Amino acid sequence: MSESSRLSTLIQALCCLPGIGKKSAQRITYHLLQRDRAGAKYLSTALDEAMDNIGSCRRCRNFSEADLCDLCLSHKRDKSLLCIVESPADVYAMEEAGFNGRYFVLMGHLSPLDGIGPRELGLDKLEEYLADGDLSELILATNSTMEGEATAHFINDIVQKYQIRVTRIAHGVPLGGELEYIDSNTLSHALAGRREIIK
Amino acid sequence: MRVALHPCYILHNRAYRETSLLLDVFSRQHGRVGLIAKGGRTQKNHKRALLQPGRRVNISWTARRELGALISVEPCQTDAPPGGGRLLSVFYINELLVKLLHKHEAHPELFDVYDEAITGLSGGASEQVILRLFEKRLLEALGYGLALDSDVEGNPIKPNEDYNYRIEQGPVLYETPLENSVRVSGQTLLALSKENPGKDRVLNEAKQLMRMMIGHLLGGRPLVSRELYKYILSTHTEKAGRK
Ligand SMILES: [Zn+2]
Repeated sequence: MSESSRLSTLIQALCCLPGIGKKSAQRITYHLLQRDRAGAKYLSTALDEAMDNIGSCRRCRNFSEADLCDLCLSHKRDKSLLCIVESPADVYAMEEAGFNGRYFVLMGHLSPLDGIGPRELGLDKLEEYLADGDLSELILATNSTMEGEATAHFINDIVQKYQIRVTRIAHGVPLGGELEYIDSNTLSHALAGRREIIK
Repeated sequence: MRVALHPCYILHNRAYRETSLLLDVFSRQHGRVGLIAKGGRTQKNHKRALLQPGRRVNISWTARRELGALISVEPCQTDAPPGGGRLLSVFYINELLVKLLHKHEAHPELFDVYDEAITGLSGGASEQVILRLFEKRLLEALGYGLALDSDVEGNPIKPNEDYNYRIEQGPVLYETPLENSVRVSGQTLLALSKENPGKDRVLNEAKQLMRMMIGHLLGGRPLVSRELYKYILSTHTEKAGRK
């Protein structure tokens, strides 16, 4: 029993979705053909439109349809704070956390073995940003992985010449975390970053 | 085959599928192995913090021909891993191992050399000295050890002479610049032989020598981590130029 080629092409194509293997792709395909052709049409147009029209912001590199994204254009944001993150998902997380400055999205972290260096992360663009901006603080919010840490130190090193205050988000004991379950590395970070108790 | 808690370093990790990690692991007895850590990226997973380059860990895994499967990982009681700017050196030595070691080729002695370099990088010892010694011992482990005590004709190296170190041959007394060779002093060769390259001149010459030898082994493949040092250096000279 061989499947028609269009059918197998669709199943194959669906496998590009994260978390979708051959089995799930098959299930989705049959569902769409059998029960939701209108929904599938809508999805395919939305995909097409998104892929054709979403590019990246000239200034912060986040996804944007326009030359400059809404966050970069907004007058309500604090222009003196620039937060550096690894991915658009991190922008979303920082927004949820209530950050009100602007962002610069690296779209990754330094990873020589994947061929990702300063140029791939747009650090030349970041330098342009710093050169003509009126920033007072640069916040390094890369992940607390070894690569995120290396990226933060690398950026800190190359931005010294702009004489801007550079900070790194604190890493340590998570809210609700119990010390005995935290790995020693995290705990030593938390210890190194200890602060006076606010009275 | 199952390998029980065994000393390892992660050389590289990469996101794989939705929640997994692909690991390039350097193990003491089994050399470089590729492992998949299922669910290694989920929030609840404590493994993630341990599966970072630069941290010595003990890993159990099921070995398969291509890609093994990680079973468990436990921290190893050692000093804190290297941090700050020294992470670039971790990138560098990891890139060397990934590009120069074949998978499943055991190099226990090189593992100990690597372990010593990482430990050195997490302490206060000179980064340049650590890297040069690592490179020297890496060449030895790969069967390309440098000739440091006598020249190609078998005469002992004299500290006050200069030599042309020729790829695949060794040192010859310096007369004129030669292709595929680097000019080094006898003092540098002897200091490297004694693994005591502390002086500035020795370190500079040793760096040129290692760059040539490693470049030869890489056969033209570039080292991306070296670009990182270059980038930092260029922004610093720019800064100095402004003053
Ligand atoms: Zn923007």
